[in-house]
Amino acid sequence: MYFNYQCFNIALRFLANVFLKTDKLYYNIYFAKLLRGDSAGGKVGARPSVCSPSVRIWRVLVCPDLAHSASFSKCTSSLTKEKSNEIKLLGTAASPFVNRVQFVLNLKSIEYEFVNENLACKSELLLTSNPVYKKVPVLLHANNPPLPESLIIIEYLDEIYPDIHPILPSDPLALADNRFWANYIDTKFFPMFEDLRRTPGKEEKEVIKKQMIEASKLLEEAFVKFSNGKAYFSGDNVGYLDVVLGCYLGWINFTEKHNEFKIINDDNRTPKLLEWTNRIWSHEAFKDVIPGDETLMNFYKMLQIYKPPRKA
Amino acid sequence: MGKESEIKLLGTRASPFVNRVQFALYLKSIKHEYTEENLARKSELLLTSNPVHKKVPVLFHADKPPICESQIIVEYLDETLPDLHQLLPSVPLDRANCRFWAQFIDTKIVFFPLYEELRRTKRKEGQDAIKQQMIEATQLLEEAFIKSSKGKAYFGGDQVGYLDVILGCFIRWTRYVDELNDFNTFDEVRTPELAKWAKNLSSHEALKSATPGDETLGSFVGMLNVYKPPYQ
Repeated sequence: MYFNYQCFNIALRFLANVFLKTDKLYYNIYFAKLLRGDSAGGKVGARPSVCSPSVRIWRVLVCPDLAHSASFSKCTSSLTKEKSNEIKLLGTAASPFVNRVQFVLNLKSIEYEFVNENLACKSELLLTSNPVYKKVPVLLHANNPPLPESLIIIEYLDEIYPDIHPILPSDPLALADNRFWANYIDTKFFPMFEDLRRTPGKEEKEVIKKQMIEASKLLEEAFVKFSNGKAYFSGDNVGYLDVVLGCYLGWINFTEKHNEFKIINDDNRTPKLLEWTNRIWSHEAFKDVIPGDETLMNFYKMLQIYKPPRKA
Repeated sequence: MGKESEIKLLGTRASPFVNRVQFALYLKSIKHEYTEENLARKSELLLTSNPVHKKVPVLFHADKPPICESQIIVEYLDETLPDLHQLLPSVPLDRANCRFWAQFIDTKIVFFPLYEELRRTKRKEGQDAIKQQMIEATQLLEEAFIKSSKGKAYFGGDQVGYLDVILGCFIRWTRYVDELNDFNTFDEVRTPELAKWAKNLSSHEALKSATPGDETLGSFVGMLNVYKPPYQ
């Protein structure tokens, strides 16, 4: 059976090259994996189940529009929407980690399909493409294995599209510096927000707010050092740390409003960061992606149910 | 990079994160000067060179600003000296895969944070829960090893690679902790490939040079028991 499919695939690709001048048939997506002996083959994206091979070939070669037919499995729409389906981003609008990847895709003018995920009821696609963490974002790039973790996705996109709006610097020392602060932002700064939400008691919350204010001073110093008088962390153009911190702006504003204090929007304590936030809010690649209050409030309510505040 | 004083490493011998950087330096045959830091009484140098975290390791390269965080230091060394025993692969997807597992190894899910929990948790149920987490984590790492090594000796294939360095620095600690807790982190039955890998890598010259002895580990744990005692 496997040998038949292999011959079949070779014949099909030959015909495709002759008649359609393209090699990109959906069969490649499934059978390329099978031929490579990739154990992930068939897991991400269901294999066609209903039609016989000959009917599928006919549809693909003669009537490509029928690829939209409901009898095809859910992933065959990649046949006709090659460019935008070559990159799929699995995510949820309220996640700053997902927004981060969206910024980079926008900055690099990469077309992609956004697949919305309901985190209260995770899809089979998410659970199989990120079995270790079961979290968004996950980048699905053509027939490559899925890629989770936003910072890893960003470095990957920067490596495969280095000439379009480079995000990271090329100098090893600057790279180390950027990675250090990204690590700080993700492992020290942002977890404080969740801590604040889950900590019961006014006094305990005040302790965390103080820590967040101290952190904001570090970030202000970092901004001044990195920007060197220019508009963004990376200088004249948006770069890595602008994306890494910028994705949190929605949540920062939300937290400031609902806890009645200023984190990085303080014109006395963090004047340079405040100016920077205004630039980010109005930047083409960011402005339609950063979620608004309503999206965040819905997500917040979901968090309050699924990860409620700790008991006092 | 011939001059010994051009690269300085601030560390503490018992720290696997420091050992990790030393492992990379030895693999790349980079001469360096090592300064031992007393974590119970941190030096001015450490506090000023890593004011954010105040932790080791810290790398000083010539007159450049100090670099902190072991994974970031290893990547920096690899980018500055790519021709000497390259650690990260060149294909972007493979690099992403390495970074993914490196992050898994160092975050709350496995190893050092878990070992710390194991040391501080005295109750049996607590200990059993942590051991279960380690079993699950090592099973995932076993799969990652099989996929990454493609039948060869190391994560990096024929040559020691990035993930061998990231995980390898913990081998000595796993043996120490296993003995104290009646456990086997890289168990021959549960994780046969990793068990072989750990045995193999332990005899690698570069790792042997970076590995602390029993006494060093014992003193370090003694210090931890004082400053971060077990939970009541």
